Amino acid sequence: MRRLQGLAGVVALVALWWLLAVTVFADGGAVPTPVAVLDSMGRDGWAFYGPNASATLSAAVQGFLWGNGLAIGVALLVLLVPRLEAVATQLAVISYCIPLLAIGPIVLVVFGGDATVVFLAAISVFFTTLIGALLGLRSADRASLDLITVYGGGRLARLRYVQIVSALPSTFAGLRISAPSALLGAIIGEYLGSNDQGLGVSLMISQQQFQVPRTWGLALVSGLIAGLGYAVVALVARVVTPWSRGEAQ
Amino acid sequence: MSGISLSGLSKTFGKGLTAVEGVDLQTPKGSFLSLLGPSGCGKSTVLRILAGLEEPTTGEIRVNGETPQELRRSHHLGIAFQDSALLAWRSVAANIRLPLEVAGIKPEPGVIDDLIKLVGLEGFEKARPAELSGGMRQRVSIARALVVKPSVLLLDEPFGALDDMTRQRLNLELLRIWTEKPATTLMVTHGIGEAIFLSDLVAVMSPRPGRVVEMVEIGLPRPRTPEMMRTPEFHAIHDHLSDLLFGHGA
Repeated sequence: MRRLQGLAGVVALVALWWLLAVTVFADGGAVPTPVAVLDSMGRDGWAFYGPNASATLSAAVQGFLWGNGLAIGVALLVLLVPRLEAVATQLAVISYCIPLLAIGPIVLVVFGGDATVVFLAAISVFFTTLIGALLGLRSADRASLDLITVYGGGRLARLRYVQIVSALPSTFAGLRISAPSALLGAIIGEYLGSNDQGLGVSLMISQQQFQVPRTWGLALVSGLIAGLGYAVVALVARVVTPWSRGEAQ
Repeated sequence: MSGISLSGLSKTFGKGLTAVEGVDLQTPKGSFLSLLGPSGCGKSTVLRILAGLEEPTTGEIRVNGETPQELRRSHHLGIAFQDSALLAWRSVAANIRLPLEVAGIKPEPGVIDDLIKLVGLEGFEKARPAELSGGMRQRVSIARALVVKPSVLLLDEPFGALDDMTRQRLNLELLRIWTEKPATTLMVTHGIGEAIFLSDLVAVMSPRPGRVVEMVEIGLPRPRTPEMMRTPEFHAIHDHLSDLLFGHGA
């Protein structure tokens, strides 16, 4: 039933787009119809989208791994050394609040084009995952922790038997959001960068050349990849944490 | 030999909130003691101190001749809380095995199965806590407390969150299990009936700061049966404990 509703939502959205394209925005040429976009995508084909998408995707995945790996590492560190919590969350908030466009050029100068794309993807995911992981690690049941203590377990045993597993559902909630964020970060990185391939680069070029249907096609593909990333993480979460079904949905 | 021995036990939290003050009590080894008192009288604090989860502000504690720390290190302590505190991602069998894993003891073959049988959960070995009723979860938590073959058993209102009928039935089960696997036991409760039914001794505590008002010896013979709860002796003890808890004029 929910899947059907989701499908109905997509159909309604496309219908609305179509309607607006042929009525309100019919003159400007800024909003092509869905058919025009699909037609342009068909003409560009895999030869255009394949290399560009895979370049961006590869950078986004690397950024996803770096950013989330660091976030989870910092969360574990904070749990073992609670005094670091204030510093860690401040850093995370700063990473979240500074506009990517502001640090991008600095990173670009220091690391060069490819690394910048990965860096911006990483920094876009750091905050949400850190907060999710910290929240999860702290959500561990008090009585369960007491139990481990009573049976002679120390801090590491509490971490291993209770806290890490309790942290998984909300960590995955963070990871799910971070999948689209990583892609967005990578695209922004490409906007700034000196790369010659990627969805961001192509978006910029097609915009400058007034290739409106292609711009829309690129946006559509980016959205699809981001949604796919979200779905993959959600699926992994469901397999890894079957006991928390319903809670984190 | 003495079982639980507390002398001059006091516990003050933070800026002067005194939970318990000057608690003295002695029980023989292998006896069943209940701490009975209104909520907030510090009875759970006493249990947590015995478990080594809280440090006493003052006082001496020995259980079967050991300090709480020694007791914990020798893995002779079993504990069950009001909240079953089962790990949601572990099966019934894996939850029962947990204390052994934490202690680094390899379970002897058949031990887990025997315990599951003892608490009447055959067929639920692989079930997850979410699939069990509240009463069944508490059975698992009792089995988990017993897996280390404890010489000391600490029960913090183990059935306090259950409905009355389930609670009655589980008290009967607890009595049977305790008779089969005797241990020096401390149970925290605010149920007068269950305290009498299960215990050799009942320590009645006053509201905060908690003190032991009176140690009442329960003279009912063992083995105990549910019929005893309808005898005049039982009612006499019940009245006496109620008087201690609520005062005469209430």
